[in-house]
Amino acid sequence: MTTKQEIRVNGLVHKVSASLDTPLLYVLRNELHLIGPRFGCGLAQCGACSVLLDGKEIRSCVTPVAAVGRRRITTLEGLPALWAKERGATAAPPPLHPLQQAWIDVGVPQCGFCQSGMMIQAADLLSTNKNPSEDQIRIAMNGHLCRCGTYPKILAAIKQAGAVMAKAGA
Amino acid sequence: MSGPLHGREFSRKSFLKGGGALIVGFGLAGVGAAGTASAAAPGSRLPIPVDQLDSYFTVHPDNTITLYDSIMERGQGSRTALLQIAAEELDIGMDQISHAPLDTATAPYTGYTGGSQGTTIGGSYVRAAAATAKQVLRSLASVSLGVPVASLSVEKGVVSGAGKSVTYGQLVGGKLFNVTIPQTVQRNDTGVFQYLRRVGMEPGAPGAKPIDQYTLVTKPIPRVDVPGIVTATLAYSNDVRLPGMLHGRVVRPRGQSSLVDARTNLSSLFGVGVVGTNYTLELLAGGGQAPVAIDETSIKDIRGAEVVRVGNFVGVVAPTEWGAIQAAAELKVTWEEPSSPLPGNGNLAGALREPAPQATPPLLITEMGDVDAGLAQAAKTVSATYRTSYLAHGPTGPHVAVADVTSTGATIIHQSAGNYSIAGACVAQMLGLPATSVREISFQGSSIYGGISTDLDCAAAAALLSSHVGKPVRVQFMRWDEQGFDNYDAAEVIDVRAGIDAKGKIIAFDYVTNSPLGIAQPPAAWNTGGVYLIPNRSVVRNTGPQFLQTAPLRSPTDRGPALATEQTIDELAYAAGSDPLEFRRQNMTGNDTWLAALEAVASAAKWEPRPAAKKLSNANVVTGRGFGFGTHVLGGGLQGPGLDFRTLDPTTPAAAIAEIEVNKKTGRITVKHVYAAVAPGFVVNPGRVADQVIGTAVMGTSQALLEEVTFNTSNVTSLDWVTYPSLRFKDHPNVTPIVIQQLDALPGGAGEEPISAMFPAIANAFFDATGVRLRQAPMTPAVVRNALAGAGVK
Repeated sequence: MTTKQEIRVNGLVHKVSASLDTPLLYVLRNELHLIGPRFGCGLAQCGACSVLLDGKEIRSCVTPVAAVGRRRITTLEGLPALWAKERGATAAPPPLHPLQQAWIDVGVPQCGFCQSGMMIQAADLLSTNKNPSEDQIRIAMNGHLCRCGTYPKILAAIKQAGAVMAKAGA
Repeated sequence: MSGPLHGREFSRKSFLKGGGALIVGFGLAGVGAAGTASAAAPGSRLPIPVDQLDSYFTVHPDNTITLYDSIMERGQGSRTALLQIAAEELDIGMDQISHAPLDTATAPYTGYTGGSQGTTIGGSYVRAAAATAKQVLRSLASVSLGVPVASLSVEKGVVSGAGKSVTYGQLVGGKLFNVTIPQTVQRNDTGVFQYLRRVGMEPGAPGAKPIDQYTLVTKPIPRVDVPGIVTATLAYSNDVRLPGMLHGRVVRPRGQSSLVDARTNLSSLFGVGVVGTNYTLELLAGGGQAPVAIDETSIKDIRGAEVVRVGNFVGVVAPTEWGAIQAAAELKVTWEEPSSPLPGNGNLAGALREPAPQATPPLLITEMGDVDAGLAQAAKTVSATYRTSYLAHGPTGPHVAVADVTSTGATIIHQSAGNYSIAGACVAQMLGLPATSVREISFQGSSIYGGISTDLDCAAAAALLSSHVGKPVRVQFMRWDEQGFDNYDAAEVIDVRAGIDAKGKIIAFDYVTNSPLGIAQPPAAWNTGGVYLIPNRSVVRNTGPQFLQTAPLRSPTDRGPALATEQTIDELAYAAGSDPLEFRRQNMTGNDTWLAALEAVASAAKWEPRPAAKKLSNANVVTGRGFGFGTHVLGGGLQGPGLDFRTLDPTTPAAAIAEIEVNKKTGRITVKHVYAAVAPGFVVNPGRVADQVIGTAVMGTSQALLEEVTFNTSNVTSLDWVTYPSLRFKDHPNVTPIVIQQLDALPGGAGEEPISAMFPAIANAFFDATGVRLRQAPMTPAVVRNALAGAGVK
């Protein structure tokens, strides 16, 4: 059973042909050719597949495409534009979201497989709290698994990005 | 000594053609953010000579350089370190050099990415090639500019002298060097492991750049691939798709059963990828459980889904990934009963003491003095049994492979653990193709932390499915495939007896491990008392049955030895009434590097000397601190009676101090802070080594506290992140990493060592907090509650 559903991803509307029960992850990757969200477990246990749905983090590996309706989906690829919108900038979107810049400055990734999901969850956190405490970060990020052990650097990068975002007044 | 250049222009392609094989075009530029590759025609697998300069470098007219080698990026920064080494020797900027993709059709085999060899061995090849290239380029510039070589200087690939200058690109851009790299590089086109073989050029060696002139190497240069990772513009092997590609999945029982065919024992591990490998379809099926019946009607409603059965292998293909996933999940297969029972992970301690079916005599690893006599003379003795569990590699991203098989050859693009170029031989044998007709390509991917044969399983499954449907097929393992059919790190049961004399000197140390057949290496001397001056010391390995598939996991065969040995040392310190660090200083061999690692963490942690467990409290939540040494020695298996192991390959000492919190009621241990140091010899990139210290401290904490492969009497039952827990964000320790640079030493490994140190550091901290010993890992809340109850601690 296929559908002519439309989904809104990173500011654009896309027609998708997948069956209604297909998890969003496979639509994003195989039809839209977005590579930010990744398959890690297919069980909503690791967070490698995370995307934002109307700004809140969800697991795309267990979310049927039919369930997202017309809500806004943001992947790692869409973070710079999301940041531009948050700041109310009308010019071209900045090349990087402050989280991406912080990830580069701190040198967070090792293998990098989990990091898209980490940045998506952090974007959700910082959208409501630009100055989270260490404990708040630990709790907000707890659903995301990194086997390489980059947690300490992620923590530092989220603090840096939050400070930049607070300063920008978004 | 000018290297002879051919008068006419050569492209790299013609150089490789000169190697006697045909290159088939493969649009690598097409594998970009969109993850689309042009048709990957079956390619060739070339013997690309490691002693030819043109195998490593292409100099472009715009004065940029492409580096070719076989070292993979698996999150440890090895690829960046190699670019640093090349740029340093060539006197160019980091922005002037980049890596070619890993491709058996274009890149020389410069070693395996694992066993701490990426930057050590791989770096030695690149250093030799780059140093040679620079000499050739300077000679060419001398001729071109009419200026003596001695009067030339090079900056950013521009050679200058007497007011004139010429770029590398102008000298050889688009042309071949046609130069043989002198003496230092040995041919090694086939070996998987190259223990102790230094094949290229070491830092500052004659012919290489003097270390005091370095501007890039020894600096904490950021990883070149990080911007691509955080902007989703760097394609991983997961992101490759070929035109007309179908999606495939393997169908197997949930969790492997008892292992009948010990495919990953030492000899077959070495055999894989070399010649005469025994890769068979039965292995793909896994665990000796054959399919008895398959009900294909069970997936008839899934559009385009198709079952492929070859021997005991069962797989499915479908036009969509979700279709393939559903088909694999819904296909009704009746599996044969497991051929022999498993002991259940709860009964391993006894089961590992049973002799292996293939009678294997005890292996005497170290024998110094007379341990029984030493123990008889001791003023105080301790003895205990220690136990570790099977551990999974557990990559965050399961294995993935895309295969395109035709009648004349195959191309496999896959995520690989460490040597992307060994699955081809297995696939060739399986499909009856010439080994040279299978081309392998690997892009970045999830780290796998060691392990080999699961790579073959995924690549082989993709190739088998592709050959049957006549189209490219992408296979990704599901989480339960990855966790259930891993080659695990082996469990051990270890008995230790040790004693001190009246002055607090260790005089006897007796270590016997019972580990399963198939475990890759015997314990390393440095992890079994070799750090200490002990006149009577014996280390013996007994081989028990192999229940599950095993293969090296980051710092293999080090966790059990460190847990047992460093707790024993702590117990002796306690018996002597000494501070655990002071006791170690008094008993160490005087090896400066181990001592430097100890002092580094002691200083960082502001360690105040006192005997352990002197601050016991009746509170429910108590704190403690503990120390542990750890390492990984590649040459660990080469010790023996009469052999002084200390002269073998340089090892990397690691030391860790863990500060922990224990909740006695719940049994929960929380590691709050880790101070960890490594002394890997010459460090190419201290920033990236510091990352490894942080990562291994966290991974070691995860393994020590939580990780355990579980199985009942028939199958493995830890199949996801709930049944196989891994340390979560909330519970990670903060880490203070310390990297000890030794410019006058050889480069050593830097991505494994603190892992094993974490096991005793946490256990010793637990004793400091509670006065109770934890002698098994993982140190789960249940293990902790049992230990406290057994000791009457509330």
